[in-house]
Amino acid sequence: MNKTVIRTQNLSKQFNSTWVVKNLNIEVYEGEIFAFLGLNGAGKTTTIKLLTGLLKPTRGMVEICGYDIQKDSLNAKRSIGYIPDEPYLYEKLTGREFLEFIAELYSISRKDMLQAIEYFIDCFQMKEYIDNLTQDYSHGMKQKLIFAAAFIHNPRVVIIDEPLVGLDSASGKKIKQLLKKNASEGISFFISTHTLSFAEEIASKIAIIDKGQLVAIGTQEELKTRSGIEGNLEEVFLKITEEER
Amino acid sequence: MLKPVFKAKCRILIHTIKEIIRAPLLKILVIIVFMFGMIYACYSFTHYIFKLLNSIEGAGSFLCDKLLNVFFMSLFFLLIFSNAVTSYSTVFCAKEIRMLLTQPLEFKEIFLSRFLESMVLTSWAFLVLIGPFIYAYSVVRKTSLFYISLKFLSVVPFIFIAAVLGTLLTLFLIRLMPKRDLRPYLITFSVILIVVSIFYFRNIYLKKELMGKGGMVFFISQLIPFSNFAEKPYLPSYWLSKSIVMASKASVSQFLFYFWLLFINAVLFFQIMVHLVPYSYYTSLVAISSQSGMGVKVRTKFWKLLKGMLVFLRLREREIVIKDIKTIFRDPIQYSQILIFFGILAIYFTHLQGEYYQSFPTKWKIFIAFLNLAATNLVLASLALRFIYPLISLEGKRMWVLNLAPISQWNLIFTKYLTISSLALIITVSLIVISNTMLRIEQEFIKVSIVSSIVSSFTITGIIIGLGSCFANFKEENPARIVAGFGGTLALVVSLVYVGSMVFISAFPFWLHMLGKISNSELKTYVDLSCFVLVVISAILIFIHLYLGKKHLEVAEF
Repeated sequence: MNKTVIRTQNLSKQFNSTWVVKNLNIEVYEGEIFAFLGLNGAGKTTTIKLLTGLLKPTRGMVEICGYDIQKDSLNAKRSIGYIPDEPYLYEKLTGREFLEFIAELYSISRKDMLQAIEYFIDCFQMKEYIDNLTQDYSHGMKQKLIFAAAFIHNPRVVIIDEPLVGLDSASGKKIKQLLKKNASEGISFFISTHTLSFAEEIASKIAIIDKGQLVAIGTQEELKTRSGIEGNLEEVFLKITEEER
Repeated sequence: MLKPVFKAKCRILIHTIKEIIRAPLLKILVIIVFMFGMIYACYSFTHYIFKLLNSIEGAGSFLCDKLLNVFFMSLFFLLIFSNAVTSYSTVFCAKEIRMLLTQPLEFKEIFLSRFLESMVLTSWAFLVLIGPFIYAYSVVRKTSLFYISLKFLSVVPFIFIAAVLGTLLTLFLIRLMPKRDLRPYLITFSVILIVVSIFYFRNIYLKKELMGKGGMVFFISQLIPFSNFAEKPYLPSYWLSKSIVMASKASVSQFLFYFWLLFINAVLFFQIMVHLVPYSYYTSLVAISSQSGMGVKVRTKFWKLLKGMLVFLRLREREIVIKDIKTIFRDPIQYSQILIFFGILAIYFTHLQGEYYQSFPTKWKIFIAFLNLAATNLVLASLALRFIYPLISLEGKRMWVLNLAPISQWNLIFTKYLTISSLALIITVSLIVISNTMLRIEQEFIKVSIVSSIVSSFTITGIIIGLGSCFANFKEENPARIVAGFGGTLALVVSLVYVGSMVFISAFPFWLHMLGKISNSELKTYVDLSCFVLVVISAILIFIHLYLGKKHLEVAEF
C-alpha cells in the first residue's frame, strides 16, 4: 500500500457565516495524480490555500507527508511544490536568478542547483529567454518558469492550481509527460482544474467539490458508476454537480 | 535563511539601477540636477532659518534647539504614520508574501525581510529631508566633521524606532479588527483624537503648564506650536535632538547617553516586535486573506445620490469620477492618512486663535500666515504624491477597460484631474480660510492666500497626475513602490519646487512692503501682479504636465 502524502481531516473554512469548505476528508497517496474538480466558487482555491498553509482552517487539519501544515509548517513546506493560478515572480530578476533564489531557499547545494536549473531550462525550452528579466515574459513563459521552480527541490507533493492556463499545446503536452513521469517515480500531484479533458487523461483519482463539500471521489470508473453515465468525464461531472443542486 | 531573500533583493536593485542608467542621458541629468538642487534648496532654507534664529542675541541657541525638537517630533509622528501605511501594503498585503509563505521560511524571517523593505521604502525620502537639516544646524553651530557624522549615526536608531512603532500600529489594528471594515473605527478615532488634542493643548496644557514659565517660554510656545510637548523626555525625537545638540557642544559623554537611549530603545522595541510575530503575523496574514472571501455587501443608495449630484458631467466622465471616489472611499488606509494629516493641521490652525497672536505685529502675523500657506501646500503635495501619483499606475491590468472604451486619453486624465483637484481645493481653501480667520489678518493677504491656494490645488494635482501618467508603472501593484520609483522622486521634487516658488511669488509684494520699498497703495497693485504671474505660471505647468501625461498614455503599452 502506498503511503499517504496529503491527508485532510474534517477540513473546514468559514468566512463570516458562510462555510466555503466544510468537513473535507481527502487522502492522496504517493505517486497519485489527484484531480480536484468543481464549478466556479465551489471552494477549490480555498482548499488549495488551506493545503499550502496560506489560510488557516476554521476546523480540522491538513497533513503533508505526515507533518501538520499548521503545527510543523517548515517540514511540511519542504515537501511541497506549489504552482498557483496567479504566480508571483520578481519582475526585476531573470528567470535563472529566480530559479537560483528558490533553490537557495531550499538549501540545495550549488552543484545540484546548477544541474537542476540546466535540466529544467532544457526540459521547458527556456534557453532563449532564461537570462532576460521576467518582466518581459509572456504568461506561458512565466508558467513554465513556475513549473521549473516548483520542481527544483524534488518535492514529494506538487499542488497545482490550473496547470494549463496560458500554455501552448506543445508545452501542455510536455507538462502532461512531466506529471506522468514524476508520478511514476513516486511524486504525488494535487491538481485543481477546469480542463476536464486534461483531468480525464492523466488523473488516477478524481474528487468533485460543490458548495465547499466533497460530493464525489474515486477513479474515473467509480465516478461513472456513481453517476450512471457511460460518457466522458465532462458528462459525468455535469451530472454529479447537477444532482447536488 | 534570509540570505537568498536579500541576495534576490540586491539583484533586483542592481537590475533597477542598470535600467535607470540605460535611460536617455538628458533624463538622468535632469533628475540628478533636480535631486541635488532640492537637497541644496533644503539646506539653504534651513541654514537661513538657523542662522536667523542663532543671531537673536541671548536666545539664539535656545531657539535653534527648540526648532530642532519640534522638527524631529513632527518627523517622528509622520514617520510612524507613514510606516504604518507602507507596512500595511508591504508587510501584510504584498503579493510576494503569498509566494514566500509557501517556501520553507519561518514567519519571523518573512516578516523581517518585509519589515526592512517597508522601512527603507518609507524612510529614504525622509532622510533626504533630515540630511540637509542636520547639516545646516551643524554649520550654524560650527560643529566639526567628526561630530556631524555622530549626529547622522543617531538618526539610524531613531528611524528604526519609528518604523517598528508604525508596523506595530498596523499589526495592532489588523489584530484588533481582523474581519471588520476599519473605516468607522478610524473616523471615530480621528475625531476623538482631534477633539481631545484641541482641548488638551489649548485649555489644559498651555494655560496651566506654560503660563507659569515666564514670558519668553510662553511666547515661543505660542510661536512654535507644540514646542514644549516636543521636549517631553519620553519622546525618541527629543533624545535625537538632544544627542545632536550634545554632539554640537562636543560633549561626548552626553551624546553617548542620548545615543545609547535611542539605541537601547530601538533594540527593545525591535525585540518586542519580534516576540509578537510568532503569535500574530501569520494570524494577521490569514485575517487579511480571509477578507477577500467575505463578500462585503455595499450600499448603493449613496452612490446613486452622488451620481445624481454629478449630473452636469457626461455619463462616461461621471462613471470614471464615481469609480475613483469609490476606490478611495472603500480603502480605509487611503483616507485615514488624509484625515490624520489634515487633522493635525486643523489642530494647529485652531490653536492660532490665542490672544498672543492677536497682539503680534502685523508682519509676524503675515509671516505665520505664509508659513501656514506653505505648510498646507506641502502637506497637499506629500498627500498627492502618496495617493494620487499611483492612481494611473494602479489602473494596471485594468487599463484595457478604459483604453478600449470610447474615451480619449485626454478625457481620462482630465476627468481624474478635475475630480481630485476639486477635493484638494475644498480641503486647502478651508484650512487657509480657518488660518486667516484665526489670525485676523489684512484683506490683501486674504486675497493672495486664497488665490494661491486655489491655484496651487489645481497645479499640484496637475503636476502629480501628469507625472504619474508619464512614469506609469502598470506592472506594480504596491503604491509605496510606485511612489518610491524614479517618477515619484521627480514628482516630489517638482511639486516641492512649485510650492516654494508659489510661496515666494505670493510673499514677494509683502516682503517689499515690509522693507518699506512700496507703499500701501502700491501693495495692492503688486499683489494683483503676483497673483497674475502665479496664475500664468501655474496654468503653463498644469498644461505641460497633463499634456505630457496624455502623450505618454497614448503610446503606452498595457
